Parts: sequence; structure tokens; C-alpha cells
Amino acid sequence: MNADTKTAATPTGNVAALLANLKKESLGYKLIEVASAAEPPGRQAAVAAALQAQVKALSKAFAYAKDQVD
Amino acid sequence: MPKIKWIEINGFRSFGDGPQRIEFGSPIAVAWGPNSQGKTSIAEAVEFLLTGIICRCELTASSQDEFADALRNAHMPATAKVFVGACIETAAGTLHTVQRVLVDDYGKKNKCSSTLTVDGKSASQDDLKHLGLHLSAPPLSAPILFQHTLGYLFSVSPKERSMYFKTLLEVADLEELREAIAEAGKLIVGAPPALLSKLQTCAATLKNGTRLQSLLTLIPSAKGIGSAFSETASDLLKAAGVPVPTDEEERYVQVRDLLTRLRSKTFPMAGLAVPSAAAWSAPADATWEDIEAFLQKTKDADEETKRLTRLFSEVLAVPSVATIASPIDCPVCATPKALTPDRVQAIRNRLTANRDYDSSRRKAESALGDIEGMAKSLVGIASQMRPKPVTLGREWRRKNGFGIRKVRELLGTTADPLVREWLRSTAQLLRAIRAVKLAGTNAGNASKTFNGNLTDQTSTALLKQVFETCATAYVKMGEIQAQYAASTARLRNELQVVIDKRTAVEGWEDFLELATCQAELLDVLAQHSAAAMIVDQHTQALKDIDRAIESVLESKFSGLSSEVGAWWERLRPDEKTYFYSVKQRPKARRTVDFKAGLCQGPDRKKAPLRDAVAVFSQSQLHCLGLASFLARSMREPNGFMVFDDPVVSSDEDYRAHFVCTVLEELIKLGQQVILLTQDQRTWKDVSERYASKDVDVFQITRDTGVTTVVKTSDDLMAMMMKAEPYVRSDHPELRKRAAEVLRDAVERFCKEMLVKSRRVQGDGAARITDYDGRTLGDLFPKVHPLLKDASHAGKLKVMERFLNPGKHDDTVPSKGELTCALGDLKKLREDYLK
Repeated sequence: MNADTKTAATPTGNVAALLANLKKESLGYKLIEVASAAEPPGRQAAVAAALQAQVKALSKAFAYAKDQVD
Repeated sequence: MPKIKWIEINGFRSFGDGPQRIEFGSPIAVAWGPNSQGKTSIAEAVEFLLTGIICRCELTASSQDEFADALRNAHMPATAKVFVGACIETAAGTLHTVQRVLVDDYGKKNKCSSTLTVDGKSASQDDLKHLGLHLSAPPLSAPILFQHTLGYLFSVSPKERSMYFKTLLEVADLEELREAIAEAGKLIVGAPPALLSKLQTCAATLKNGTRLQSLLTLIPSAKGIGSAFSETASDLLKAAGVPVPTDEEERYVQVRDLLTRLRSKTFPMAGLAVPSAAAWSAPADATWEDIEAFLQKTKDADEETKRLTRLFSEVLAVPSVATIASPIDCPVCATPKALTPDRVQAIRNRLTANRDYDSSRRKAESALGDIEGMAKSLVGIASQMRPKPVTLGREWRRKNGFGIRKVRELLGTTADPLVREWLRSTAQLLRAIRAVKLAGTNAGNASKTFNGNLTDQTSTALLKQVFETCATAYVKMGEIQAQYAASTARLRNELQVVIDKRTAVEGWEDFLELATCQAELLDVLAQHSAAAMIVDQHTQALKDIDRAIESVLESKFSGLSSEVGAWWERLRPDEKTYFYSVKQRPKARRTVDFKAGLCQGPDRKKAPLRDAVAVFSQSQLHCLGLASFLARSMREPNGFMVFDDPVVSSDEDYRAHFVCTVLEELIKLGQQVILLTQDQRTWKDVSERYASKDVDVFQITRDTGVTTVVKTSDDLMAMMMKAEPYVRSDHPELRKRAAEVLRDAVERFCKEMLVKSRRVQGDGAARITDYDGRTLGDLFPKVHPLLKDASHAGKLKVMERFLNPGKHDDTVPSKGELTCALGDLKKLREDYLK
């Protein structure tokens, strides 16, 4: 997850219970963190932005691997 | 928790025009009324106040028009206001008046609408939350239990039941998060970039496309891409029997040549090449300025000087003239002494005035030369823009098989409109080119003629006009050429597909294009692979989240199960068939089951489990509905609950447990209970059992056509009955309570005496409430004159004295004093009020 992604300081209630049932390093955990930190109108956009950041980071990683190979 | 102090109903369902206020002073109230007297109207009035609707409409109406005009009393004038109000005491002890006014009743096609106010100010549903009033999941939003809502959970679809419980268990927020994450996942892969689409199409259509296909599934590298393209080019050449060059770039050149050769065997596409239009513009203003400057000088110059300028220049170049100091003979006509120094000076001055005339003429001639050149260039440009089939010539067309017949043969009759459009645009372009060439030729000729007679010209207007015609024709030709290019492109694209198919070179063109942009392709493929990988991870993340939500729900359902079970046991203790659990069906997130345990003895450990909906009797399902309602209401405590005939009167055990155990538990938990029943035994049982709680007892009648609610716990007889069990009690606290009730009863006696007297005297409007807040001290002087026996005044006075200490914390009245007071009061009631 990119560094500037907003996350809730301390999730409470259901979200905390949900996170307790997910592995901390999993994408599901990170996406729940992002989604719960955003207000409903922008929630989907926040998650989409986080996923796009993941795609971008991975693309860069591929590019780096490509440079190493080439 | 909030409590209802009173409710006020006007014009709602069976209530008439004139507000009816029902006051609550006790944590428990019980109202009895036979069928069709308005019990449900009271419960629905509270529901309407809290939610703005009645859930019966949502649950039972098979079509909306069944509930048309259901809320407004049908006999009331249309102008009369329909409203329900209540005074809510919040947990902090503050009092607030809430009122909901019906604006539009249920219609044939619309729901009802209303306005809400809190303390006289317009309010929203959210404002009720500030008073501590929380609504539950619809459709059973309000803490009100109706007969028709008891079976709701067993009659709805599994999905609706599941949604109801999930909302109740407050996991809808998790579902919302999950939904947002799922929806966001759909945005990971956007519209594919053009390059990726091209690669996908090429890999799918190219006969040797497997190497390119693999690029779409592997993590990309420049080396891999280069190799895939180079090897594919090699495969294409080998398949055509063409030697494969070692140099990579040379391979693509060979493939291109091969493609052109193969295509041209089917159709000479060169005939559909579109020449690009060369730029041309009319002469600039500066060009015309040079010509116009000369014309101006011509106009200004003296005609004689113009004619003799050259001669004068030569004369002044003669040394004797140039250095003249005294008159000399003229070197032109030999007139003696004709040239004087003054005359030579005059000639010199005239020549100086016209010294740049020649230079100006040269500039004008040069400009006209340029203009003529531009006209010629326009003719050239127009010639170059002729369609290729024309420039290539008839012989080329015949030799290469270019013709409309061939095009039609390739495309079939469906392409006729396309072919006709192309022919039309070709003809238009040829006409436009001819027009430009004609205008250019005319302009060239005009420029030449103008230049030849330059000194005789006076204006450039006509010449300019000729060039303006050129510019107009050129612009027009450009527009038509664009139309021709577009229609040719359409025809070419259609042909290309057919030709490539016939020639078996589909995908070659894309392949060659892609081969030239491998660096960009690498970026696109990196993005594509990354997106595909994140899509997989996202799918897995959703599965993980689903499992996690199920775990959270499981834990919450377990808690709810225990709560429903606890209420069940209060209602039906130790039954062999019992409620076991409410939980989600394994691997079916959208299904919630109620499970029943079936045991033969007291040991429930080995009881087989069955679906409660299938094995429970109607009475048990009824009870399960009530237990679920109680569990739900305690999870979202509003501080009060309204029950509209919650128990079946024929189910004696169940009824008794409800009255004794459940109501007591609810009061213990701080709940205000408002019980409406048609069962007189339940009404009496509750009135007596909870007399110590000052239970509010009401009777509901509809004797006058509209529902009337009378608080019978306030009437004299009820008060005396309430006091009776305590007057002989050994317990001082109970006797103190009896004294309080008896004192209220004496006050009530006095008020009823006064009202009766006024009514006898013709005051029909006299009401008990006229004396609200009056004490015995106020009332006695008014009652004395009405007493028929002098001893009665004394009895009342003694009663006041006996009963007074009970109100204060002094000596508690004795059993004897209380018994006497009660006896005297009964006698007085017999004498005066019966």
C-alpha cells in the first residue's frame, strides 16, 4: 500500500473484529483499512485508488526486474 | 433510557377529531378493549409517530391501493388535522414534545407522508436519535409488537430474514465495506490501451501468433518481447519460403516486402493511396505593397520627366555639364549657350525627386514575378492532388487489375454504398482540381500581362481578385480532398480486411506496426500483467473478507441466540421442544435458520436439532417471534415497548409466564411497558400483579363511534381496590402505600362529588380534570355544603387526619385507622355516588 494512503488510526467495533479475522499482511486487511478510513461517498474511489497504487507499484517492480534482466 | 410520559392522538384511524391524551405515570400500563375498539390504532399511532409509516402496509398489503386513505379517520372533515404527539422524557430527565402530522395519507399509488416536529420545531428522523429513540431494521423498525409482526421472521424469504438479522446485528457496515471493495475491483482493469488491444487482436489472428500470445500471460521483459517478435517474423518468412535474414530489422523489411507482394496479388492497394495536400496561400500583403508603391510613384512622377529621365541622367553625366559654371551649348540639340548653370541645377533637382523610380519599378517587377510563380505552383499542387488511379494511368490500372469491378467482386454487393460514395468523392475531387488549375492558369496569365504593361497600370484590384478566386478554389479543393481521403480510407479498410483474409496475411500489418514500438509495448504489458496479478489478489482478498465477515457474524449470532434463548426460557421454561439457536446456514451466507431442539427428557445435551419453522407449533412459533422481538428490543433499547396482544389468550401457561416473568424482567431492566390486550384476564392479572408499581390501567371503548381511552386506575373504585390488600398489612411500608392510595381516593371522591353537583345544576362540561392539582384542603370546603348528613363531614375530616401521615414520613397509620378510613369511604361512595 502506498505511503500516503489514509488509514484509520484505531478501527473499532465491527471493523476491529473483522480485522482480527484477517491476516495483517493480506490485501484484504489493507483494503478494509482503507475502506473503513474513508467516508461512504468516497469509499469506493479510495479503495480503487489504493488498488491502482498497487498496480503501479507492481508495474514498476516489473520494469525494475526487466532492467536487471536486460 | 427515554420514557413516554403521554401520547396524544387526533384523527388517526379510529380516533376522532379532538385530541385524546393518554398519560403514563408507571413503568407499566395495561389497556383493555374488546375487538375493534382501537387497540391496534393506539399501537400504530406510536409506530406512525416514530417511523412515519405503519409496517402493516409493508408486510400485508398485496397491492398498495389496499391501504389507500387508511390512516385518516374516515368520518372526519377533510380539513381536520391528523396527528400523533408524545412527551418523551430523555435519559437525562428533560422533557420533549414530539409530534407527527399526517400530510398525505396512503394513496392508490403512493406512500403516506408526514411532517415531524420536536418541541415545535421542524425535525428530521435523525433528531429522534438525539432523544435516545433508535429505530431498528425495517420493516419492524419501532419497538412495537403487533400480531401481524410476530410471524414476520418465519414468513419472509431466507434472504430477507438474513438481511433483517444482519441489520439487527449491525454488520451492514461490513457488507458496505465489502461491497465498496468489490466494486472498486471492477475498476482495476480499465479500457485496454490501443497498443494492448492491437497486440491481443494480432496474437489472436496471426497464424504464427503463439509467441505473441505468450506475451499476454507472462511477466514481460524487453528481451522476451524482442525475441517473440523476431522469431515470429522468422516464422512468417520461413512459411512463405523466403530466406530469413540474420539482422532483426532486415527481417521486418522482408516481412513488409512479402506482405506488399502478397497483397498486390489480390488487389493493387497503391491505387487507393491518398496524396497529401501541399500548402499554398495567396500572395501576402507585402507583395502587393511593392507593386502598389510603384503604381503610386508612377502616378506622382511628371510625365515629361518620366520620358526624359534616362536622357537627363546621361546629360548630367557629361563632364562639361556636371561641372558647368557658365552657359554652354546643349550636348543633345547643340543649341548654343542653351544650358545655363541654373537650368542644369533645375534638371538635377528634378532627377533627385525621381531618383528611386527605377528601383521601385524593379521591386514591382520582381513581386509580379513571384505572384506569377505562385499561380504556377498552385497549378502544380492541384495536379499532384489528383487521385492515384488517375495519376497512375489507364495502363497501370489495366496491368494491375485495379477497377471498380474488382472492388465489387472483393467486397460483394453489401459494399455498394461505400463504392458509390468513393466514386462520387473522386469525381468531386477531380472537378475541384480542374477549378483550381483553371484559376491558377488565369492568375498566372493575368500576372504576366500586368507585368508587361506595368507603367500603364493604375490599380492591382483586378489582379488581386483573380488571386482571391485562386484561394477560394484551393480551400474548396482542400475540403473535397478531405472527404475523398475519408471515403478512400473507409473503402481501403474494408478492402484490407478482405484482401488480408484472401491472402492469408491477417494480423501482419498489426504485427509490423507493433514491431516498431516494442519499448512502449513493454510498458503496456508491464501494466497489463500487474493489473492481472492485482485482480487475482483482489479476488482472493474478497474471499478472505467474506470468511472474516462470516466469523464476525457467527460470533454475533451466537450472542443473539443466547438472548433469544433466555427470553424463550422465560416464556416456556423447561419444555421438551425448545428453541436452540438462530444462526447462518453453513456455506450459505444469505440464509438464516432458527433451530429447535427436540428432547424426550430433561437432558437436552443429546437432543436432535430440527428447523424450528418445520417442527414448532403455531403457539411455539408465536412465542419464538416474541422472544426474538424481546431480544432485538433489548439490543436497541428505546426505554419502552408497546405490545398489541402479544400472547394467545388460549395458551394459558404461556400467558401466565408472560404476565409474571417476562413483564417483571422487563420492568427490572428499566423498560417501560405498554400492553394492549383484548383478554380481560390478562388485563386484570397485570392490574393486580403490578398494583404495587402503580400500574396505569386503561379501558378502550368505542361507544360514541370513536376510540376513547379511559384511565380506570384513576377511578374511585379502582383506587379503593388497590388500597384494600395493604390496609391490614403488618408491614409499615405497605400501610404507608395504602394511606397514599386512600388519600388519592378521598380526593377523587371529593372531585366526583363536585362534578356530579355541577352536572345536576346543568353544567354538562364539568370534568374531573377541572380539579387537577387541588388538595384535600382545597376540596373539603367545597364538598361540605353538598353533604346530606352532618356526620359525613366529620368522617371526611378524620380520614384526612388518618391519611395525612402516610404522605409524609411521620407515623405510619395503623391497620385500624386505615380500615376505618376505607370503610367510611365505601359508605360515602354508596350514599352519594352510586
